Amino acid sequence: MRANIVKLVYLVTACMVAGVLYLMSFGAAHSTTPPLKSAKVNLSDKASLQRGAAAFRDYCFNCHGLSAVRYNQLTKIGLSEDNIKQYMLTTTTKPGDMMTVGMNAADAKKWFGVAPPDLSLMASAKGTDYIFSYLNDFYRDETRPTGWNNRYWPNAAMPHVLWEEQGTMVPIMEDKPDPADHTKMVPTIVGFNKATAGKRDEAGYEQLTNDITNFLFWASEPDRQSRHFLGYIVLAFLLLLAFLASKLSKNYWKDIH
Amino acid sequence: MADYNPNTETTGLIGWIDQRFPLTKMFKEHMSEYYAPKNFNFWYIFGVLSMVVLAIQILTGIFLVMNYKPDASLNSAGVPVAFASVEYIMREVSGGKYLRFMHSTGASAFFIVVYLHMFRGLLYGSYRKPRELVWIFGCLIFLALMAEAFMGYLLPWGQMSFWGAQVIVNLFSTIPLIGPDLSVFIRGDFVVGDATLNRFFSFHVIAVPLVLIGLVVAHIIALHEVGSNNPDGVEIKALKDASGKPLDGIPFHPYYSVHDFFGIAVFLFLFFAVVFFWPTGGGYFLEDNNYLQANSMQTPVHIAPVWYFTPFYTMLRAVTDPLRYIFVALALLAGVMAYLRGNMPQKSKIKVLAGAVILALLLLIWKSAFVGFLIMGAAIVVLFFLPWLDKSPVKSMRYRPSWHMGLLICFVINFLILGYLGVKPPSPVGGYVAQVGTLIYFGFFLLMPWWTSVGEFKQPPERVTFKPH
Repeated sequence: MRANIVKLVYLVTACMVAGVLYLMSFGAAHSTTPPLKSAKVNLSDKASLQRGAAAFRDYCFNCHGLSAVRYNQLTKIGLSEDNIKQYMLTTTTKPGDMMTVGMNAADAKKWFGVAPPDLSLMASAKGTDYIFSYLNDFYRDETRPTGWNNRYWPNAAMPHVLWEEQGTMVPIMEDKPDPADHTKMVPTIVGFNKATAGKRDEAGYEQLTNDITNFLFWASEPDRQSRHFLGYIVLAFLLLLAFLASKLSKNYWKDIH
Repeated sequence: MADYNPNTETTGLIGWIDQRFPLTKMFKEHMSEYYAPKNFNFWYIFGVLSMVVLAIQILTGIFLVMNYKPDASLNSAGVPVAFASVEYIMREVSGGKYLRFMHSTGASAFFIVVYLHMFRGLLYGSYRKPRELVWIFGCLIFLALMAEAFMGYLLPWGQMSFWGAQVIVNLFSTIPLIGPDLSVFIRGDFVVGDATLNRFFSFHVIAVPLVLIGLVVAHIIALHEVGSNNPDGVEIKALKDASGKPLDGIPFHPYYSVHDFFGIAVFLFLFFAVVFFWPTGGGYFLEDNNYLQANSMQTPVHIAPVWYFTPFYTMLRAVTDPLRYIFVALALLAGVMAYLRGNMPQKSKIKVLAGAVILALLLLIWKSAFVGFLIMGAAIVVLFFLPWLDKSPVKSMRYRPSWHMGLLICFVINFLILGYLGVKPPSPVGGYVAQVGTLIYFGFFLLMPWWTSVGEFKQPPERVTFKPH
């Protein structure tokens, strides 16, 4: 009787582990959004960060601020103070100012329905792959007030601000099983056709969006690389400390029999 | 001169102090003449590590408070002041980033070492007589730590801070009659807002830490009064040499202080590896969604507490009507069994049976949400009773039947599974697993008086087992 109860507990535990393993495999296949495209972020690539900063200024900065970043922080991506004054500052901003947008948050909400979020931490919150995928997924959708839609943030309030660069993408629809209910077929986007050409070809547009992603990744933690540098020093010190501490401990414990 | 004690062994400055304050006496009592068993193993490092983490949390916390602003109002850029002040610490305060990452990593590290410390207690019966109070102080520390972590998590004022607090405070509103008013009383507002942020800040930086430090002192005083247990569960005070020192005891200082120094160095290596290279802990130490500012108009798709609360959160979620009816049946069954088989006077039997019937009725009347809240609370309260639930004739798992260890391993796996389910969105399969897991969690503790007393026990040795190294 007792042995059987113990066996039953073992069996139930094994079943629970199996259930969790099933959940783990099941969860991945259940997603309704397409898999993320991977961005190539590289904080050492100063040219990419500078191109990203320029594109950010031209296309994003009218609505989205980087309220945690000061203009003069941009020296860390290789811009000189003169560059910053010449290319980034407006007539009313100073190098020590935060990169906020001029638009009032309450007005923005009235105009767009939602206030465009501050992008200082967007790379930390959503991940660089998400930002890259999102910027590469705008397509024409006449049912939306902006005329644009996006699979990674469906019914986004943001229009495709980069359309002149990319051109206009129209979706190719096919009937596919509904991810939530496999018995139903729903029209699903399987790809895009380019309806009108943009200034850039496909590779050029991917580079542009990758540069913006890289810049936003930098903005999410401007001193990320110095953190790693300091980390190696601290860990080397602690390794040495642990080694000496182990010797010290062994030396004392020789007395104990 | 009034009467003071001039007969100290020490001289000079220490002597001067010792004549006025028991410095050397305390050092001897708690360090150089505190005799600890010489056979401590790996599992005995987590007590001192939790003190190290507590020190890290307090020291980094002091400096974080200098720059953090508990203010939910929006600044000119539309970002809440509290959220922006965390980023100010991260970017503009010198070393602020490391203080903040140490504090956030420290929160998770605290629970990791405390859970391992509690597991050690289960493994070697460290809560058994005469260490019941050591265990109870420990449970109170765990409770205070949960309050501390929960309130601290609101302070960055991110999406998960806000919605996590909203969900947990709303649990109190499920209490019959007083619930809705109580939750308003806790929040200080009808929604989680500036009032909530300010009071949680106050509790997080002063009230709870004070309680926590007091409890830690009590935990250690109680431990040093009765002496440490060890992996063999042998009472070293039973065998003493001519001078009254335990034969198997060694002075804590220098032997365990140097030993712990090594353990602390290894721990700090791992800790700082996370701080410098993996501070988000894969989205578990710092959740991705908490990098978005709190927004009361946008509910996240999936709200889960931080990982260290999720085993208990899963038990809360697991209580739906089917499980509630199972609890009703179990309460009645326990009452009837106590009546028929219980070894107590007739009057007590009737009282127990009546109590069980009343409990069953209440469980029937109350809503599942409230019963879930009670189950979550009971999952923590049951820990306090462990010293009296465990009836095993020996303390240490080493001398208990191997299937006792098997059940403990099942319990640990079950606890990890409950934790995993809590970080994931609810699902039908997960729901069943969570319900079985909840029953196993409570079964492990409530059936303890029975299962710990049966099986083939080995005779523990008189002296501890120790291999010199």
